[in-house]
Amino acid sequence: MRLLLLEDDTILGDGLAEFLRVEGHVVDWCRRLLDAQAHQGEPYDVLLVDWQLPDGSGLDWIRSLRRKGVSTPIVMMTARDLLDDRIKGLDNGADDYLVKPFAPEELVARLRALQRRTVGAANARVHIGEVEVDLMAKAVYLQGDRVDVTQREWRVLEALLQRAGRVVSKNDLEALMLGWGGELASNSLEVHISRLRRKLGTDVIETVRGMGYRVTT
Amino acid sequence: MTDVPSIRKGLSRVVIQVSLAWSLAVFGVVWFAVHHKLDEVLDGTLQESAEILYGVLKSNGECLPIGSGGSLPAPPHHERMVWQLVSGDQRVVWRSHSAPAQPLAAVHRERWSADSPEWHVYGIPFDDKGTMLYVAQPHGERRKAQLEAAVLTACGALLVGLTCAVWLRRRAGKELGPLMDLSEQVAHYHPLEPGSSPPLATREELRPVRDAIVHLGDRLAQNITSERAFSANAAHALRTPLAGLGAQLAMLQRESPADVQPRIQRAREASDRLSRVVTALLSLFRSGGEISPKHIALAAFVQDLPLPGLAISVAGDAEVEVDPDLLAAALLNLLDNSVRYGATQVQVSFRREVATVVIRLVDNGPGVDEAARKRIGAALATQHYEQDMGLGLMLADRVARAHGGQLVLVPVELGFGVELSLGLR
Repeated sequence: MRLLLLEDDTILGDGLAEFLRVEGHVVDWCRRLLDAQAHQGEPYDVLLVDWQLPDGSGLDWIRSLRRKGVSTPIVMMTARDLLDDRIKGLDNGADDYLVKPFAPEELVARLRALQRRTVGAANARVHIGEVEVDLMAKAVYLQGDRVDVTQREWRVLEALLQRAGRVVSKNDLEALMLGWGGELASNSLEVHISRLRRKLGTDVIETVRGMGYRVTT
Repeated sequence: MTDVPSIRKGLSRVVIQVSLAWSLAVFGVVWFAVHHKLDEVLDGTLQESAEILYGVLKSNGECLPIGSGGSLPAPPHHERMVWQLVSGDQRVVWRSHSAPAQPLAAVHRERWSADSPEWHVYGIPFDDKGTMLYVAQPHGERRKAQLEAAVLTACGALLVGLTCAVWLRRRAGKELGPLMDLSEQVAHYHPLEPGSSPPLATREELRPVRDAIVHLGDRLAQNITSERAFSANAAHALRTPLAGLGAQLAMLQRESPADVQPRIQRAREASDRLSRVVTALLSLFRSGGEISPKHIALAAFVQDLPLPGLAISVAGDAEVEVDPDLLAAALLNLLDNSVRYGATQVQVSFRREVATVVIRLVDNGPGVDEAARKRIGAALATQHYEQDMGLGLMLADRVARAHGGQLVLVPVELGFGVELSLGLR
């Protein structure tokens, strides 16, 4: 998943970002609210937002995003542990609320839970015709047989699954794969899509001419 | 709480004393006045009677047997006043029915004679031959009249005094009512709650008390607000670095070779324990003794407590109204103690008593000897935690006391046993 991490504490931000990357996520880390606001138009799968930031309130930002109709799942990570705070956080648009200190493994588990909710699966397995995708194990099966996919191929598939039924533009798909500063060769995305079709079947990923790609579960 | 003097009782005592003193004073004054007035009235009556009698006797002297030495005939009756006509040679020439045959006065004396121990006598010269008309009342009769007057006066004064005492006592109780109302309002006054209004002073004398209470409440509210703000800042200042430490250690564990994994795992466990202690301390500090109770089932609650490396077996269940954050902090610290002292298993059971629910934890660690158990138990009972115990027991006891219970160490055959009681709401 492509994640925006908004955390001002260097040690925590650095540790979390690295941990999440090792877990296979694409992480863009901002230490200031202003930086996060500058990238809020970009496609993200989940926003990880601290409440108290040097230049503003993460909660206010979440509220403004929801008012604008942004439906991206948001996890609030904060030191504020009062019941009132937790209620306020969830009522103002956060999908999950994690009180510091927490184990990074717990955050990863919560991200998986959010992902399941997003793709509408009660468990970690999603079906696309004869293809079965295990979101937790990051594994893909065709007619029950395990199919090996590369990390980038997995990211493409996961990004499309996150938005199942919707058309994802080429630019968004590239951003979801790479995050900030990532670069692909001009036809790299098409190469990954082509390989996935070869491995999983041509029907799995649909091309919507002039608009992008779509997966239907 | 030791007995303190009661304003109501004090006022009642004073009212009764004042009423009795007032009754006595009224009795004295009235008795003095009545005594003199009664004497005047009786003397006047005697004098008037003598003068009327004089006129009657003079007017009808020829028709009456004056000089016979006899008495005026009359039906049997009790006479409160007698009369005599005494000749110049001290002979009773005529008298009323009950008058003595001897002269009422030993020597002739006009007006009042005081020489008779039995009679109060008034004399009027009757003729120019030295005859005297004496009219007299028995002293006993006069004293009886005076006594009756005194008794009536005393009864009246006492009755009025007692009536006043009862009325004043009730009145004093009624006047203390606003003080009781103020106490009631103060008991329900919470300066930090937006809807809580300060107490009202319905009497001028209570206004300074009310103002002092409101001022005190404001100062306390300000202190608590400052402490909460400090607590929130402290929470942020402590929790975020702890989260950072946890994240860095987690990352380090991922990147490190297998031979250093055990050491990193221990570092992560220490970091987790530090997190739990800090969380518990922040919860306790922020609660300030106040709890936010919720209804919970204890068995599920205990089983959900995250503490790796310790097998927790739960027997039975109980439901109770507790502050879950504080109870979790207390139990985590107790369980953490068990881990630190080498226990690998803890048995948790519950017992409902009359006014409490008791959570019993017994681990399979080395435990403490009898002397240490008694010493720690005494420190817990007196809340002198300073030297005899660690943070875990102290914190658990504080949490139990905030719920109307306490922590006690219990003797067990093997391991270490504690019972944490929670008051039922």
